[in-house]
Amino acid sequence: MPTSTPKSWEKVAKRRRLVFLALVLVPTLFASAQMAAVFPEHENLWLKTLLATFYGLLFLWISFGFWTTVAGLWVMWRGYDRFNIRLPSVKKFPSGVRTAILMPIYNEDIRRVSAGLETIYRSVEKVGLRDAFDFFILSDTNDPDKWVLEENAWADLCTRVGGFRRIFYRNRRPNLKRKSGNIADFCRRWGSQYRYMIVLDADSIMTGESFARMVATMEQHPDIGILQSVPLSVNRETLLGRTQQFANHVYGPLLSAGISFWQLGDAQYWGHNAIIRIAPFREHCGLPRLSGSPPFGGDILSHDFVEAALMRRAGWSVWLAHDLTGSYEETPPTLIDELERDRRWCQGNFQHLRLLFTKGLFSAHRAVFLRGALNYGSALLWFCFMSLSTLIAVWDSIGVPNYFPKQHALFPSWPVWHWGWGVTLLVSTAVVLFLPKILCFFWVWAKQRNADQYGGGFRLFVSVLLETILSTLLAPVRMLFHSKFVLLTLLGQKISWEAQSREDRGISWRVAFKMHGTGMIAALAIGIGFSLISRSFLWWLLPVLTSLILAPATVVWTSRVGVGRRFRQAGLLLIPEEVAPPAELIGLNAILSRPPPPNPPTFDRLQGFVRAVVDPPVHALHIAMLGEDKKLNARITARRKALANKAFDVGPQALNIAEKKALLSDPVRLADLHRRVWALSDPEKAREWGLTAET
Amino acid sequence: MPLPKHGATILNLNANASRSVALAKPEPFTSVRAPGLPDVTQEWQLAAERMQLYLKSMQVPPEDQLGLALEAMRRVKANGQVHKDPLPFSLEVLWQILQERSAADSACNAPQGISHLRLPASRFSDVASVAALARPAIRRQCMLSAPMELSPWRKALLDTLEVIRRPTEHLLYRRGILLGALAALILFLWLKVFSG
Repeated sequence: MPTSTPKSWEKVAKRRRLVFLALVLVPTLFASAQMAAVFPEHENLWLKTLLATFYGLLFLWISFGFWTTVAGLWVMWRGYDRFNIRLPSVKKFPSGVRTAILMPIYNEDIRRVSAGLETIYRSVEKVGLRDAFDFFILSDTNDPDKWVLEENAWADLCTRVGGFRRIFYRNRRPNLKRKSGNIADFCRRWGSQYRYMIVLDADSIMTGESFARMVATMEQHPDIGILQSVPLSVNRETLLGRTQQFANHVYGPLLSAGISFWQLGDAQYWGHNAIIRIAPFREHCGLPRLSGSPPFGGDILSHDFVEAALMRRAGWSVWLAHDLTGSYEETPPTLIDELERDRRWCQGNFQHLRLLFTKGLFSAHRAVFLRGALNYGSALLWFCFMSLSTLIAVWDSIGVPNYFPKQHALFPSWPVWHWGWGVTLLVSTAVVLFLPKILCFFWVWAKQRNADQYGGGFRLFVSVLLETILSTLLAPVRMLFHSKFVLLTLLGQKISWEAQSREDRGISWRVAFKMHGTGMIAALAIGIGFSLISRSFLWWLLPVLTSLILAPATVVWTSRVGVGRRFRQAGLLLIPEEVAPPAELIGLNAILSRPPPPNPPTFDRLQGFVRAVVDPPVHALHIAMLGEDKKLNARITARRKALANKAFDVGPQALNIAEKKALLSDPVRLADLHRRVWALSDPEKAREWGLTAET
Repeated sequence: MPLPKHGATILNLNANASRSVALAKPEPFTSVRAPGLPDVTQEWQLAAERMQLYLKSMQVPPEDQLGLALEAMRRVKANGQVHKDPLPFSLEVLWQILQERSAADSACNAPQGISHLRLPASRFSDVASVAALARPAIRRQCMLSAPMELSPWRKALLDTLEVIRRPTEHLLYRRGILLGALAALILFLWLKVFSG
């Protein structure tokens, strides 16, 4: 295999990781010892040790972020890393290389998906590389209404951009192995016709230039298996969404540069906005179904980390293109959406623990698996740490100290709390937590000198403060939920696979109280309890308790689009894409604001099944896309006839999802139903199918 | 009355189709009064309205809709197929007319995109071309699952752990029992602290 990436990167990576381990472990051990020393001697040694261990693990966790940001600052300040790959310009785009751009979707809002693809297609056209890329909408959608809408959206999109034979659509009926199975299905059917595939998410936007640079990089470095871009979060309007995308813009570049510095060619794959060399991927990255039942067995949920590890095991490097621009995604708009996503990720990351000892994996990828699990496990550690410190505080307030721990002692041993060390620890923890934010602020303001793109230096500073306050306020809420997710995963509760919400929508007070009411009541009870037992400890707990008590209000407030817009009008939490939007994002919004085409029958446009039966163009397209009529056995034919009769006699609402899907899969019965419905003379029945003309 | 051809607008999806048709504002529906027919009944009125709605749904230009509906009704009448419920017959004839127009249009112009789909009787005639547009030709290759076996000493370790874990698995997976154990642990810690 040719190796044209910086040759000595593997040795350098090892050295860098040793330094990283030293930087993280030494202060952690010191901090743990200090934590143990805060408590009085001779009292609850085992409790003290446990608390110091939890603190050590938490300190280790936050040290990762700190040292990664510092490394990122080092790289970005210098402007280069000679052991990292360099991205060529668009002009280096190779001729004769075919790349497939894949958009796997699952019950998504097809209007957004279609608009995103149109934007990407036009951007590719703009750089003059239309013939080098093919686009695939790989649908795993199992909602019959959405399936029909997707087909229609594909045809509309191809018509609009002239994309027939360049933009393809496939709906997969059995959704085996979810997203990884969807991509694998592409690799099996069409993978041999392309050298690379660029995998996108339903909300991804990438520019034609970024595609070209990624392909050129892969051509220049034939040993790269996966090249991951760092997508920037955009397009959110809720306060939480805007805060997240602001953090992603200000802190993200240094963090990703730091990650790239430590990992070099052992980087991660995040599942989207990445380019993959198809041949080795097909050969080495097929995912097995794990033995046993979910959550630890079954299909591998977080497939991306595993695929990167397998690619690396096969000898291909995986790199993070942290300096590639023109890669975008969208964050969850509300905290509830974010937590729903985290629930899936938590289970997926814990499942990786089973793969920790897989033969042949590189230690860097084992560390990635471990860190992924710690991402959520740290919440449970924090919860345990808080619980233990509370227990100790209660004991300190109520329990009777033992002044003579040793027999025959002449003098009593006073229980002394070393508060000074405690304060030192608190300050060092705060530094490790918040210094990266300050470093990032200074990097944007002083080095990059592009504070103007964030509304100016002062507004940038205020925005960083706001983001810090909001993330501090939400941290205990996240901690509580993540702890719950970890416990549920450990207890074997599996999760369902649902489409991610990507729309800006507010959360009602009822939903917020339902989600966060228990935490709020528990926090109130603990607060009242400590105000009676130990007021001094109440101050220690106050930030966490306040956050939990305010959680419903915070969640509702941060989910409001109006609040987010007011902050934007005030020039706060701005991102460069809002100040000077790139052409692709302007194009996307223009497409999304187009009015839908006219719809003469009076049914809801989102009723895909009804449209497939009634709407003549939709009906014709659906039947044509089903392919050749299949010979069915008599039993199935009879069942489907019965379904068609049921739909005709009672109306479309009489069919459930499975029945609708069965009927939609049968072109003969569907065409028959189309004729019968249009010939309905009973006005009531006709109205159920939307056959009442608007007057 | 000469009827305009409209095959290309049956499915207005080809690259050359006018976007103005697809994006035009919906016009208020005006029913056809079937002026050419002497025995206009309520049933005929419904048939005319339904046909016009069908044509409108197919994005047939408004100026063609009336002509096509009238043509269908004339043919039904000419065939002597005047029944109590003329709606199904009118629609059948309308579909027949649409097919004729579409076939004529296809014969003149090479089909582009999927505009030449005909509705609904000859629905399977163009399936292959649409399927090819939606999905390119398949050149199947295999993609096998990667081996994920454990290294020997790790396997031995995990097997040992498994031997210990298996008898207690059903207990661990019962949330109630685990929560009970957790509560007992907290109680134990609590008592330990207060007795200390």
